[in-house]
Amino acid sequence: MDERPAHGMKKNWVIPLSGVAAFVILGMVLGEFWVKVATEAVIMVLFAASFSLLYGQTGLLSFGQGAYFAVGAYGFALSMTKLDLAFPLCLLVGVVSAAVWAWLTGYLCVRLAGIYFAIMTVVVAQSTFYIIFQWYSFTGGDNGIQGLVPPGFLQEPIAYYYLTLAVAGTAYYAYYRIVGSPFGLSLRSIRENTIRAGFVGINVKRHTLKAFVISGAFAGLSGALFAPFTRSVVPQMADWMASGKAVFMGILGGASHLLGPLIGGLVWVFLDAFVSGYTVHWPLIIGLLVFLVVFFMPGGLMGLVASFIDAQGPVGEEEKPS
Amino acid sequence: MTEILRTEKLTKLFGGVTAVSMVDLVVGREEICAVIGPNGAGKSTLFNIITHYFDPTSGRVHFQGKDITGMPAHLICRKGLARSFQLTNVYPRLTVFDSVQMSLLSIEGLSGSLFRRARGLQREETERILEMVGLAEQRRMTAHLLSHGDKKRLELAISLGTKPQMLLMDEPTAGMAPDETWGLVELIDRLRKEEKLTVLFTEHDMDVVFDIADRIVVLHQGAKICEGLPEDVQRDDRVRECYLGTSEGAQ
Repeated sequence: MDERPAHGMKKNWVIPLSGVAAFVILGMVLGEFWVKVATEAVIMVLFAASFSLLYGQTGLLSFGQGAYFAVGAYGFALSMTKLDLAFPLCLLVGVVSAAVWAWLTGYLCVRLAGIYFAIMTVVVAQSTFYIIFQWYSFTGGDNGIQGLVPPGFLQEPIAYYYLTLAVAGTAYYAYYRIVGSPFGLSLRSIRENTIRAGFVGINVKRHTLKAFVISGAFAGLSGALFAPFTRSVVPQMADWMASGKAVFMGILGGASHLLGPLIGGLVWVFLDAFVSGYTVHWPLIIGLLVFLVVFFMPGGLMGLVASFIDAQGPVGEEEKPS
Repeated sequence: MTEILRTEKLTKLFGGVTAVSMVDLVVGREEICAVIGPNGAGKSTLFNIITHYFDPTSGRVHFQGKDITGMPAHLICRKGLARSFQLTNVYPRLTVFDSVQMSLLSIEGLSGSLFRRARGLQREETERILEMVGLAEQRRMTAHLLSHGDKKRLELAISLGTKPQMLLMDEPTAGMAPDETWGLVELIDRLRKEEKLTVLFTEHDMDVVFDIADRIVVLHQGAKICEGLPEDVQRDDRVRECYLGTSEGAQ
Protein backbone atom coordinates (compact mmCIF):
# COMPACT_ATOMS: atom_id res chain seq x y z
CA MET A 1 0.00 0.00 0.00
CA ASP A 2 3.00 2.30 0.14
CA GLU A 3 3.19 2.72 -3.60
CA ARG A 4 -0.37 4.02 -3.46
CA PRO A 5 0.11 7.68 -2.45
CA ALA A 6 2.49 8.38 -5.35
CA HIS A 7 0.15 6.64 -7.74
CA GLY A 8 -2.82 8.45 -6.24
CA MET A 9 -1.05 11.79 -6.48
CA LYS A 10 -0.54 11.37 -10.20
CA LYS A 11 -4.17 10.44 -10.70
CA ASN A 12 -5.26 13.31 -8.45
CA TRP A 13 -3.75 15.86 -10.81
CA VAL A 14 -4.11 14.36 -14.23
CA ILE A 15 -7.83 13.64 -14.19
CA PRO A 16 -9.13 17.00 -12.92
CA LEU A 17 -6.68 19.01 -15.03
CA SER A 18 -7.54 17.19 -18.22
CA GLY A 19 -11.23 17.49 -17.32
CA VAL A 20 -10.99 21.25 -16.89
CA ALA A 21 -8.92 21.53 -20.07
CA ALA A 22 -11.56 19.56 -21.96
CA PHE A 23 -14.29 21.93 -20.81
CA VAL A 24 -12.23 25.00 -21.69
CA ILE A 25 -11.49 23.65 -25.18
CA LEU A 26 -15.13 22.68 -25.60
CA GLY A 27 -16.06 26.32 -25.16
CA MET A 28 -13.70 27.26 -28.00
CA VAL A 29 -14.81 24.69 -30.54
CA LEU A 30 -18.56 24.52 -30.00
CA GLY A 31 -21.06 26.69 -31.82
CA GLU A 32 -23.48 28.92 -29.94
CA PHE A 33 -26.24 26.33 -29.59
CA TRP A 34 -23.94 23.70 -28.15
CA VAL A 35 -22.22 26.21 -25.89
CA LYS A 36 -25.63 26.88 -24.38
CA VAL A 37 -26.21 23.16 -24.01
CA ALA A 38 -22.82 22.82 -22.33
CA THR A 39 -23.67 25.70 -19.98
CA GLU A 40 -26.89 24.02 -18.96
CA ALA A 41 -25.04 20.73 -18.52
CA VAL A 42 -22.47 22.28 -16.22
CA ILE A 43 -25.24 23.88 -14.16
CA MET A 44 -27.12 20.59 -13.96
CA VAL A 45 -24.01 18.81 -12.71
CA LEU A 46 -24.38 20.82 -9.50
CA PHE A 47 -28.05 19.88 -9.27
CA ALA A 48 -27.09 16.22 -9.63
CA ALA A 49 -24.40 16.71 -6.98
CA SER A 50 -26.98 18.07 -4.58
CA PHE A 51 -29.03 14.87 -4.95
CA SER A 52 -25.97 12.64 -4.85
CA LEU A 53 -24.66 14.05 -1.59
CA LEU A 54 -27.91 12.98 0.06
CA TYR A 55 -28.59 9.75 -1.75
CA GLY A 56 -25.18 8.50 -2.79
CA GLN A 57 -23.25 9.53 0.31
CA THR A 58 -25.85 9.60 3.08
CA GLY A 59 -28.35 7.06 1.75
CA LEU A 60 -31.30 9.46 1.92
CA LEU A 61 -33.59 9.43 -1.10
CA SER A 62 -34.67 13.02 -1.63
CA PHE A 63 -37.44 13.55 -4.11
CA GLY A 64 -37.60 17.25 -3.40
CA GLN A 65 -34.36 18.85 -4.53
CA GLY A 66 -36.34 20.93 -7.02
CA ALA A 67 -37.55 23.05 -4.10
CA TYR A 68 -34.04 24.24 -3.29
CA PHE A 69 -33.19 24.69 -6.96
CA ALA A 70 -36.22 26.96 -7.30
CA VAL A 71 -35.53 28.88 -4.09
CA GLY A 72 -31.99 29.46 -5.36
CA ALA A 73 -33.33 30.70 -8.69
CA TYR A 74 -35.98 32.93 -7.07
CA GLY A 75 -33.45 34.21 -4.54
CA PHE A 76 -31.34 35.31 -7.47
CA ALA A 77 -34.28 36.74 -9.40
CA LEU A 78 -35.76 38.71 -6.50
CA SER A 79 -32.47 40.17 -5.37
CA MET A 80 -31.82 41.27 -8.95
CA THR A 81 -35.24 42.75 -9.72
CA LYS A 82 -36.38 44.01 -6.30
CA LEU A 83 -33.12 44.80 -4.54
CA ASP A 84 -31.05 45.62 -7.60
CA LEU A 85 -28.02 43.86 -6.15
CA ALA A 86 -24.81 43.21 -8.05
CA PHE A 87 -24.67 39.95 -9.98
CA PRO A 88 -22.31 38.04 -7.63
CA LEU A 89 -24.41 39.10 -4.65
CA CYS A 90 -27.54 37.84 -6.38
CA LEU A 91 -25.87 34.45 -6.77
CA LEU A 92 -24.93 34.51 -3.11
CA VAL A 93 -28.46 35.41 -2.02
CA GLY A 94 -29.73 32.50 -4.11
CA VAL A 95 -27.39 30.02 -2.46
CA VAL A 96 -28.00 31.30 1.06
CA SER A 97 -31.79 31.38 0.71
CA ALA A 98 -31.79 27.80 -0.60
CA ALA A 99 -29.58 26.70 2.29
CA VAL A 100 -31.82 28.43 4.83
CA TRP A 101 -34.94 26.88 3.30
CA ALA A 102 -33.19 23.48 3.38
CA TRP A 103 -32.34 24.03 7.02
CA LEU A 104 -35.92 24.89 7.98
CA THR A 105 -37.53 22.09 5.99
CA GLY A 106 -34.73 19.59 6.56
CA TYR A 107 -35.33 19.86 10.27
CA LEU A 108 -38.60 17.99 9.65
CA CYS A 109 -37.28 15.62 6.98
CA VAL A 110 -34.27 14.22 8.83
CA ARG A 111 -36.49 13.08 11.67
CA LEU A 112 -37.87 10.44 9.31
CA ALA A 113 -36.20 7.46 7.70
CA GLY A 114 -36.55 5.52 4.46
CA ILE A 115 -39.73 5.99 2.47
CA TYR A 116 -41.10 8.46 5.03
CA PHE A 117 -38.12 10.70 4.45
CA ALA A 118 -38.72 10.51 0.69
CA ILE A 119 -42.41 11.34 1.09
CA MET A 120 -41.61 14.27 3.36
CA THR A 121 -39.24 15.72 0.78
CA VAL A 122 -41.99 15.47 -1.85
CA VAL A 123 -44.41 17.21 0.50
CA VAL A 124 -41.92 20.00 1.14
CA ALA A 125 -41.20 20.42 -2.57
CA GLN A 126 -44.90 20.57 -3.49
CA SER A 127 -45.51 23.08 -0.70
CA THR A 128 -42.65 25.19 -2.00
CA PHE A 129 -44.15 25.01 -5.46
CA TYR A 130 -47.56 26.22 -4.23
CA ILE A 131 -46.07 29.01 -2.17
CA ILE A 132 -44.22 30.30 -5.22
CA PHE A 133 -47.23 29.69 -7.45
CA GLN A 134 -49.72 31.58 -5.32
CA TRP A 135 -47.72 34.38 -3.78
CA TYR A 136 -48.30 36.78 -6.69
CA SER A 137 -47.18 39.98 -5.00
CA PHE A 138 -43.76 38.54 -4.20
CA THR A 139 -42.96 35.84 -6.73
CA GLY A 140 -45.16 36.84 -9.66
CA GLY A 141 -47.13 33.60 -9.33
CA ASP A 142 -47.46 31.57 -12.50
CA ASN A 143 -46.03 34.42 -14.57
CA GLY A 144 -42.68 33.94 -12.92
CA ILE A 145 -40.08 36.70 -13.19
CA GLN A 146 -38.58 37.72 -16.51
CA GLY A 147 -35.79 39.91 -17.71
CA LEU A 148 -33.00 38.42 -15.63
CA VAL A 149 -30.29 39.60 -17.95
CA PRO A 150 -26.74 39.19 -16.64
CA PRO A 151 -24.59 42.32 -16.70
CA GLY A 152 -22.39 43.41 -19.61
CA PHE A 153 -20.22 40.89 -21.36
CA LEU A 154 -21.84 37.99 -19.48
CA GLN A 155 -24.71 38.31 -21.92
CA GLU A 156 -22.44 36.60 -24.42
CA PRO A 157 -23.21 32.85 -24.23
CA ILE A 158 -19.52 31.99 -24.32
CA ALA A 159 -18.70 34.35 -21.46
CA TYR A 160 -21.55 32.98 -19.40
CA TYR A 161 -20.31 29.47 -20.15
CA TYR A 162 -16.88 30.24 -18.74
CA LEU A 163 -18.36 31.96 -15.71
CA THR A 164 -20.54 28.92 -15.06
CA LEU A 165 -17.56 26.65 -15.57
CA ALA A 166 -15.48 28.57 -13.04
CA VAL A 167 -18.24 28.66 -10.42
CA ALA A 168 -19.35 25.07 -10.93
CA GLY A 169 -15.75 23.86 -11.07
CA THR A 170 -15.05 25.47 -7.71
CA ALA A 171 -18.25 24.04 -6.30
CA TYR A 172 -17.35 20.59 -7.58
CA TYR A 173 -13.98 20.87 -5.92
CA ALA A 174 -15.87 21.64 -2.71
CA TYR A 175 -17.99 18.54 -3.33
CA TYR A 176 -14.83 16.48 -3.74
CA ARG A 177 -13.42 17.85 -0.50
CA ILE A 178 -16.67 17.18 1.37
CA VAL A 179 -16.78 13.59 0.14
CA GLY A 180 -13.18 13.08 1.23
CA SER A 181 -13.53 14.86 4.57
CA PRO A 182 -14.20 13.20 7.91
CA PHE A 183 -17.76 14.49 7.55
CA GLY A 184 -18.07 12.67 4.22
CA LEU A 185 -16.96 9.44 5.84
CA SER A 186 -19.50 10.01 8.61
CA LEU A 187 -22.21 10.33 5.98
CA ARG A 188 -21.19 7.05 4.37
CA SER A 189 -21.20 5.36 7.77
CA ILE A 190 -24.71 6.64 8.33
CA ARG A 191 -25.68 5.36 4.88
CA GLU A 192 -24.19 1.94 5.54
CA ASN A 193 -25.45 1.44 9.07
CA THR A 194 -27.31 4.25 10.78
CA ILE A 195 -27.66 2.45 14.09
CA ARG A 196 -24.03 1.50 14.28
CA ALA A 197 -23.00 5.04 13.38
CA GLY A 198 -24.93 6.25 16.42
CA PHE A 199 -23.19 3.70 18.60
CA VAL A 200 -19.76 4.95 17.63
CA GLY A 201 -20.69 8.42 18.79
CA ILE A 202 -21.99 10.06 15.62
CA ASN A 203 -24.90 12.42 16.10
CA VAL A 204 -26.92 11.07 13.20
CA LYS A 205 -29.65 13.73 13.08
CA ARG A 206 -27.23 16.60 13.27
CA HIS A 207 -25.02 15.18 10.54
CA THR A 208 -27.90 14.38 8.21
CA LEU A 209 -29.33 17.87 8.70
CA LYS A 210 -25.94 19.34 7.87
CA ALA A 211 -25.79 17.21 4.73
CA PHE A 212 -29.30 18.35 3.86
CA VAL A 213 -28.34 22.01 4.16
CA ILE A 214 -25.16 21.60 2.12
CA SER A 215 -27.13 19.71 -0.47
CA GLY A 216 -29.71 22.50 -0.52
CA ALA A 217 -26.92 25.01 -1.09
CA PHE A 218 -25.68 23.03 -4.09
CA ALA A 219 -29.19 22.91 -5.56
CA GLY A 220 -29.53 26.62 -4.81
CA LEU A 221 -26.31 27.48 -6.60
CA SER A 222 -27.48 25.45 -9.55
CA GLY A 223 -30.79 27.33 -9.60
CA ALA A 224 -29.11 30.71 -9.14
CA LEU A 225 -26.86 30.06 -12.14
CA PHE A 226 -29.80 28.77 -14.15
CA ALA A 227 -32.02 31.85 -13.66
CA PRO A 228 -29.83 34.34 -15.59
CA PHE A 229 -29.03 31.60 -18.10
CA THR A 230 -32.68 31.33 -19.17
CA ARG A 231 -33.33 35.01 -18.26
CA SER A 232 -36.41 33.98 -16.26
CA VAL A 233 -37.72 31.93 -13.36
CA VAL A 234 -41.00 30.01 -13.21
CA PRO A 235 -42.73 28.09 -10.41
CA GLN A 236 -42.29 24.84 -12.37
CA MET A 237 -38.67 24.89 -11.23
CA ALA A 238 -39.95 23.58 -7.90
CA ASP A 239 -42.33 20.92 -9.17
CA TRP A 240 -41.87 17.19 -8.94
CA MET A 241 -40.54 16.94 -12.50
CA ALA A 242 -37.63 19.18 -11.56
CA SER A 243 -36.94 17.11 -8.46
CA GLY A 244 -37.20 13.94 -10.53
CA LYS A 245 -34.57 15.31 -12.88
CA ALA A 246 -32.07 15.53 -10.01
CA VAL A 247 -32.89 11.94 -9.08
CA PHE A 248 -32.47 10.66 -12.64
CA MET A 249 -29.23 12.51 -13.28
CA GLY A 250 -27.82 11.31 -9.98
CA ILE A 251 -28.77 7.71 -10.57
CA LEU A 252 -27.68 7.79 -14.19
CA GLY A 253 -24.18 8.90 -13.25
CA GLY A 254 -23.94 6.80 -10.10
CA ALA A 255 -24.78 8.78 -6.98
CA SER A 256 -22.24 7.20 -4.63
CA HIS A 257 -19.31 7.83 -6.97
CA LEU A 258 -17.34 11.02 -6.80
CA LEU A 259 -17.68 11.64 -10.53
CA GLY A 260 -21.23 10.31 -10.73
CA PRO A 261 -23.03 13.69 -10.65
CA LEU A 262 -20.61 15.07 -13.25
CA ILE A 263 -21.20 12.24 -15.69
CA GLY A 264 -24.92 12.06 -14.92
CA GLY A 265 -25.52 15.78 -15.46
CA LEU A 266 -23.48 15.94 -18.67
CA VAL A 267 -24.93 12.81 -20.25
CA TRP A 268 -28.47 13.81 -19.37
CA VAL A 269 -28.34 17.33 -20.79
CA PHE A 270 -26.40 16.45 -23.93
CA LEU A 271 -28.65 13.49 -24.61
CA ASP A 272 -31.66 15.72 -24.08
CA ALA A 273 -30.35 18.28 -26.58
CA PHE A 274 -29.30 15.63 -29.04
CA VAL A 275 -32.38 13.43 -28.98
CA SER A 276 -34.92 16.25 -28.90
CA GLY A 277 -33.37 17.43 -32.19
CA TYR A 278 -34.66 14.22 -33.78
CA THR A 279 -37.85 13.38 -31.98
CA VAL A 280 -40.44 14.92 -29.72
CA HIS A 281 -40.61 11.66 -27.80
CA TRP A 282 -37.62 12.50 -25.62
CA PRO A 283 -39.51 11.78 -22.36
CA LEU A 284 -40.26 8.29 -23.63
CA ILE A 285 -36.62 7.68 -24.42
CA ILE A 286 -35.53 9.02 -21.06
CA GLY A 287 -38.03 6.69 -19.41
CA LEU A 288 -36.48 3.73 -21.17
CA LEU A 289 -33.01 4.93 -20.29
CA VAL A 290 -33.84 5.20 -16.61
CA PHE A 291 -35.44 1.78 -16.75
CA LEU A 292 -32.29 0.28 -18.24
CA VAL A 293 -29.99 1.99 -15.76
CA VAL A 294 -32.02 0.92 -12.75
CA PHE A 295 -32.21 -2.66 -13.96
CA PHE A 296 -28.77 -3.27 -15.40
CA MET A 297 -26.51 -0.64 -13.86
CA PRO A 298 -27.50 -0.14 -10.24
CA GLY A 299 -24.26 1.79 -9.69
CA GLY A 300 -24.96 4.08 -12.65
CA LEU A 301 -22.45 4.83 -15.39
CA MET A 302 -19.64 5.39 -12.89
CA GLY A 303 -20.53 2.12 -11.22
CA LEU A 304 -19.97 0.47 -14.55
CA VAL A 305 -16.62 2.18 -14.94
CA ALA A 306 -15.63 1.27 -11.38
CA SER A 307 -16.48 -2.39 -11.82
CA PHE A 308 -14.46 -2.37 -15.04
CA ILE A 309 -11.47 -0.89 -13.21
CA ASP A 310 -11.91 -3.36 -10.37
CA ALA A 311 -11.77 -6.19 -12.87
CA GLN A 312 -8.49 -4.79 -14.20
CA GLY A 313 -6.67 -4.68 -10.91
CA PRO A 314 -7.01 -4.59 -7.18
CA VAL A 315 -8.38 -1.16 -6.41
CA GLY A 316 -10.50 -0.71 -3.29
CA GLU A 317 -14.13 0.18 -3.85
CA GLU A 318 -14.01 3.11 -1.50
CA GLU A 319 -10.92 4.45 -3.18
CA LYS A 320 -12.28 7.53 -4.85
CA PRO A 321 -13.46 9.63 -1.95
CA SER A 322 -10.27 10.98 -0.43
CA MET B 1 -12.93 -3.25 43.39
CA THR B 2 -13.75 0.17 41.97
CA GLU B 3 -17.13 0.17 40.38
CA ILE B 4 -17.51 1.27 36.76
CA LEU B 5 -21.07 0.24 35.91
CA ARG B 6 -24.06 -0.12 38.15
CA THR B 7 -27.68 -0.79 37.31
CA GLU B 8 -30.51 -0.32 39.78
CA LYS B 9 -33.72 -2.29 39.53
CA LEU B 10 -33.54 -2.25 35.75
CA THR B 11 -36.81 -3.43 34.23
CA LYS B 12 -38.12 -3.70 30.69
CA LEU B 13 -41.62 -4.71 29.70
CA PHE B 14 -42.59 -5.47 26.10
CA GLY B 15 -46.36 -5.30 26.19
CA GLY B 16 -47.23 -7.77 28.92
CA VAL B 17 -43.95 -9.65 28.74
CA THR B 18 -41.28 -8.89 31.28
CA ALA B 19 -37.98 -9.14 29.41
CA VAL B 20 -35.79 -7.79 32.19
CA SER B 21 -36.94 -7.62 35.76
CA MET B 22 -35.41 -5.63 38.62
CA VAL B 23 -31.82 -6.35 37.67
CA ASP B 24 -29.15 -4.93 39.98
CA LEU B 25 -25.74 -5.33 38.48
CA VAL B 26 -22.34 -4.02 39.52
CA VAL B 27 -19.26 -4.36 37.37
CA GLY B 28 -15.82 -3.42 38.62
CA ARG B 29 -13.06 -1.72 36.68
CA GLU B 30 -10.97 -4.07 34.53
CA GLU B 31 -13.25 -6.93 35.36
CA ILE B 32 -14.43 -9.48 32.82
CA CYS B 33 -17.98 -10.28 33.70
CA ALA B 34 -20.23 -12.72 31.87
CA VAL B 35 -24.00 -12.63 31.73
CA ILE B 36 -25.40 -16.05 30.98
CA GLY B 37 -28.84 -17.56 30.82
CA PRO B 38 -30.98 -19.63 28.50
CA ASN B 39 -32.37 -18.14 25.28
CA GLY B 40 -34.88 -15.44 26.07
CA ALA B 41 -33.44 -14.82 29.52
CA GLY B 42 -33.13 -11.10 28.73
CA LYS B 43 -29.39 -10.84 28.16
CA SER B 44 -29.56 -8.86 24.91
CA THR B 45 -32.38 -6.71 26.25
CA LEU B 46 -30.28 -5.89 29.29
CA PHE B 47 -27.45 -4.77 27.01
CA ASN B 48 -29.85 -2.81 24.87
CA ILE B 49 -31.14 -0.92 27.88
CA ILE B 50 -27.71 -0.19 29.28
CA THR B 51 -26.52 1.29 25.99
CA HIS B 52 -29.89 2.95 25.45
CA TYR B 53 -30.99 1.18 22.34
CA PHE B 54 -34.30 0.97 24.20
CA ASP B 55 -35.64 2.99 27.10
CA PRO B 56 -35.97 0.97 30.29
CA THR B 57 -39.48 0.74 31.70
CA SER B 58 -37.99 1.58 35.08
CA GLY B 59 -34.66 1.58 36.86
CA ARG B 60 -31.40 3.48 36.46
CA VAL B 61 -28.01 2.95 34.85
CA HIS B 62 -24.87 4.54 36.29
CA PHE B 63 -21.57 4.60 34.47
CA GLN B 64 -18.42 5.91 36.12
CA GLY B 65 -20.53 7.44 38.84
CA LYS B 66 -22.84 9.31 36.44
CA ASP B 67 -26.47 8.54 35.75
CA ILE B 68 -26.65 7.76 32.03
CA THR B 69 -30.24 6.49 31.93
CA GLY B 70 -31.97 7.87 28.85
CA MET B 71 -28.86 9.55 27.48
CA PRO B 72 -28.72 9.37 23.64
CA ALA B 73 -26.66 6.41 22.39
CA HIS B 74 -24.04 8.55 20.70
CA LEU B 75 -23.33 10.39 23.95
CA ILE B 76 -23.12 7.19 25.99
CA CYS B 77 -20.51 5.99 23.55
CA ARG B 78 -18.53 9.18 24.02
CA LYS B 79 -18.53 8.60 27.78
CA GLY B 80 -16.48 5.47 27.15
CA LEU B 81 -19.12 2.76 27.07
CA ALA B 82 -19.05 0.89 23.76
CA ARG B 83 -20.90 -2.16 22.60
CA SER B 84 -20.68 -4.77 19.92
CA PHE B 85 -23.66 -6.57 18.52
CA GLN B 86 -24.93 -10.12 18.44
CA LEU B 87 -25.58 -10.14 14.72
CA THR B 88 -22.64 -8.70 12.87
CA ASN B 89 -23.29 -5.04 12.58
CA VAL B 90 -20.65 -3.54 10.32
CA TYR B 91 -20.71 -1.05 7.43
CA PRO B 92 -21.12 -3.40 4.45
CA ARG B 93 -19.70 -1.11 1.76
CA LEU B 94 -16.97 0.63 3.72
CA THR B 95 -13.44 -0.72 3.81
CA VAL B 96 -12.13 -2.29 6.98
CA PHE B 97 -9.79 0.65 7.42
CA ASP B 98 -12.49 3.30 6.97
CA SER B 99 -14.83 1.49 9.36
CA VAL B 100 -12.35 1.63 12.21
CA GLN B 101 -11.03 5.07 11.33
CA MET B 102 -14.64 6.31 11.53
CA SER B 103 -14.86 5.42 15.21
CA LEU B 104 -11.60 7.18 15.96
CA LEU B 105 -12.61 10.32 14.06
CA SER B 106 -15.92 10.32 15.86
CA ILE B 107 -14.46 9.95 19.34
CA GLU B 108 -11.88 12.65 18.62
CA GLY B 109 -14.74 15.02 17.76
CA LEU B 110 -13.83 15.14 14.07
CA SER B 111 -16.86 13.44 12.56
CA GLY B 112 -18.34 16.76 11.43
CA SER B 113 -15.12 18.23 10.08
CA LEU B 114 -15.48 19.51 6.52
CA PHE B 115 -12.18 21.23 5.92
CA ARG B 116 -9.75 18.40 6.50
CA ARG B 117 -9.04 15.28 4.55
CA ALA B 118 -10.06 12.08 6.25
CA ARG B 119 -7.29 10.10 4.62
CA GLY B 120 -4.41 11.23 6.81
CA LEU B 121 -6.23 11.43 10.13
CA GLN B 122 -5.91 8.87 12.94
CA ARG B 123 -3.95 6.57 10.64
CA GLU B 124 -1.53 5.10 13.13
CA GLU B 125 -4.15 4.45 15.74
CA THR B 126 -6.39 2.78 13.14
CA GLU B 127 -3.49 0.57 12.04
CA ARG B 128 -2.72 -0.27 15.65
CA ILE B 129 -6.26 -1.47 16.28
CA LEU B 130 -6.30 -3.44 13.04
CA GLU B 131 -3.03 -5.13 14.01
CA MET B 132 -4.41 -5.89 17.43
CA VAL B 133 -7.52 -7.66 16.16
CA GLY B 134 -5.65 -9.27 13.29
CA LEU B 135 -7.27 -7.47 10.37
CA ALA B 136 -4.26 -5.53 9.08
CA GLU B 137 -4.07 -7.65 5.94
CA GLN B 138 -7.70 -7.03 5.07
CA ARG B 139 -7.61 -3.28 5.59
CA ARG B 140 -8.57 -2.45 2.00
CA MET B 141 -11.36 -4.98 1.70
CA THR B 142 -14.96 -3.85 1.90
CA ALA B 143 -16.65 -5.29 4.94
CA HIS B 144 -19.29 -7.33 3.15
CA LEU B 145 -16.55 -9.41 1.52
CA LEU B 146 -15.09 -10.56 4.84
CA SER B 147 -15.59 -14.02 6.30
CA HIS B 148 -17.95 -14.31 9.24
CA GLY B 149 -15.11 -14.55 11.74
CA ASP B 150 -13.41 -11.50 10.27
CA LYS B 151 -16.67 -9.59 10.41
CA LYS B 152 -16.92 -10.35 14.12
CA ARG B 153 -13.37 -9.11 14.54
CA LEU B 154 -14.17 -5.96 12.59
CA GLU B 155 -17.23 -5.52 14.76
CA LEU B 156 -14.91 -5.57 17.77
CA ALA B 157 -12.40 -3.23 16.09
CA ILE B 158 -15.16 -0.69 15.37
CA SER B 159 -16.07 -0.71 19.06
CA LEU B 160 -12.44 -0.44 20.13
CA GLY B 161 -12.03 2.55 17.84
CA THR B 162 -14.19 4.57 20.20
CA LYS B 163 -11.47 4.06 22.87
CA PRO B 164 -13.90 2.67 25.42
CA GLN B 165 -13.27 2.16 29.11
CA MET B 166 -15.85 -0.56 29.06
CA LEU B 167 -17.10 -2.82 26.32
CA LEU B 168 -20.38 -4.68 26.21
CA MET B 169 -20.16 -7.66 23.88
CA ASP B 170 -23.25 -9.54 22.89
CA GLU B 171 -22.18 -13.08 21.96
CA PRO B 172 -18.75 -12.18 20.63
CA THR B 173 -17.97 -15.70 19.42
CA ALA B 174 -21.34 -16.70 17.95
CA GLY B 175 -20.82 -18.59 14.70
CA MET B 176 -17.03 -18.62 14.95
CA ALA B 177 -14.86 -21.63 14.25
CA PRO B 178 -13.16 -23.06 17.38
CA ASP B 179 -9.69 -21.67 16.62
CA GLU B 180 -11.20 -18.24 15.89
CA THR B 181 -13.08 -18.42 19.18
CA TRP B 182 -9.92 -19.03 21.19
CA GLY B 183 -8.11 -16.32 19.31
CA LEU B 184 -10.82 -13.92 20.39
CA VAL B 185 -10.70 -15.11 23.99
CA GLU B 186 -6.99 -14.40 24.08
CA LEU B 187 -7.60 -11.00 22.54
CA ILE B 188 -10.18 -10.07 25.16
CA ASP B 189 -7.74 -11.08 27.87
CA ARG B 190 -5.02 -8.97 26.28
CA LEU B 191 -7.34 -5.98 25.97
CA ARG B 192 -8.04 -6.11 29.64
CA LYS B 193 -4.36 -6.23 30.51
CA GLU B 194 -3.00 -3.82 27.91
CA GLU B 195 -5.86 -1.40 27.40
CA LYS B 196 -7.32 -1.67 30.91
CA LEU B 197 -10.65 -2.51 29.39
CA THR B 198 -13.65 -3.67 31.40
CA VAL B 199 -15.73 -6.26 29.59
CA LEU B 200 -19.30 -7.33 30.15
CA PHE B 201 -20.37 -10.05 27.75
CA THR B 202 -22.99 -12.64 27.04
CA GLU B 203 -22.02 -15.98 25.67
CA HIS B 204 -23.50 -19.35 24.92
CA ASP B 205 -20.21 -21.21 24.84
CA MET B 206 -19.68 -22.27 28.47
CA ASP B 207 -16.03 -23.17 27.87
CA VAL B 208 -15.39 -19.57 26.89
CA VAL B 209 -17.35 -18.24 29.84
CA PHE B 210 -15.53 -20.33 32.42
CA ASP B 211 -12.21 -19.64 30.80
CA ILE B 212 -12.18 -15.84 30.90
CA ALA B 213 -14.93 -14.59 33.17
CA ASP B 214 -13.88 -13.30 36.58
CA ARG B 215 -17.46 -13.28 37.61
CA ILE B 216 -20.70 -14.64 36.22
CA VAL B 217 -24.22 -13.29 36.45
CA VAL B 218 -27.06 -15.67 35.66
CA LEU B 219 -30.34 -14.39 34.27
CA HIS B 220 -33.47 -16.45 34.04
CA GLN B 221 -36.77 -15.12 32.72
CA GLY B 222 -35.43 -11.61 33.02
CA ALA B 223 -34.37 -11.81 36.65
CA LYS B 224 -30.96 -12.27 38.17
CA ILE B 225 -30.99 -15.63 39.94
CA CYS B 226 -27.37 -16.03 40.83
CA GLU B 227 -24.08 -14.17 40.73
CA GLY B 228 -20.58 -15.07 41.78
CA LEU B 229 -17.24 -16.61 40.91
CA PRO B 230 -17.32 -19.21 38.12
CA GLU B 231 -16.82 -22.11 40.56
CA ASP B 232 -19.69 -20.95 42.76
CA VAL B 233 -22.03 -20.44 39.85
CA GLN B 234 -21.19 -23.88 38.51
CA ARG B 235 -22.15 -25.42 41.82
CA ASP B 236 -25.37 -23.45 42.30
CA ASP B 237 -28.44 -25.67 42.25
CA ARG B 238 -30.83 -23.10 40.84
CA VAL B 239 -28.46 -22.45 37.95
CA ARG B 240 -28.12 -26.14 37.18
CA GLU B 241 -31.84 -26.52 37.29
CA CYS B 242 -32.79 -23.67 34.98
CA TYR B 243 -29.84 -23.62 32.71
CA LEU B 244 -26.82 -25.83 32.74
CA GLY B 245 -28.76 -29.05 33.13
CA THR B 246 -31.41 -28.47 30.53
CA SER B 247 -30.35 -26.22 27.70
CA GLU B 248 -26.60 -26.67 27.45
CA GLY B 249 -27.11 -29.81 25.42
CA ALA B 250 -29.21 -27.89 22.97
CA GLN B 251 -26.42 -25.43 22.13
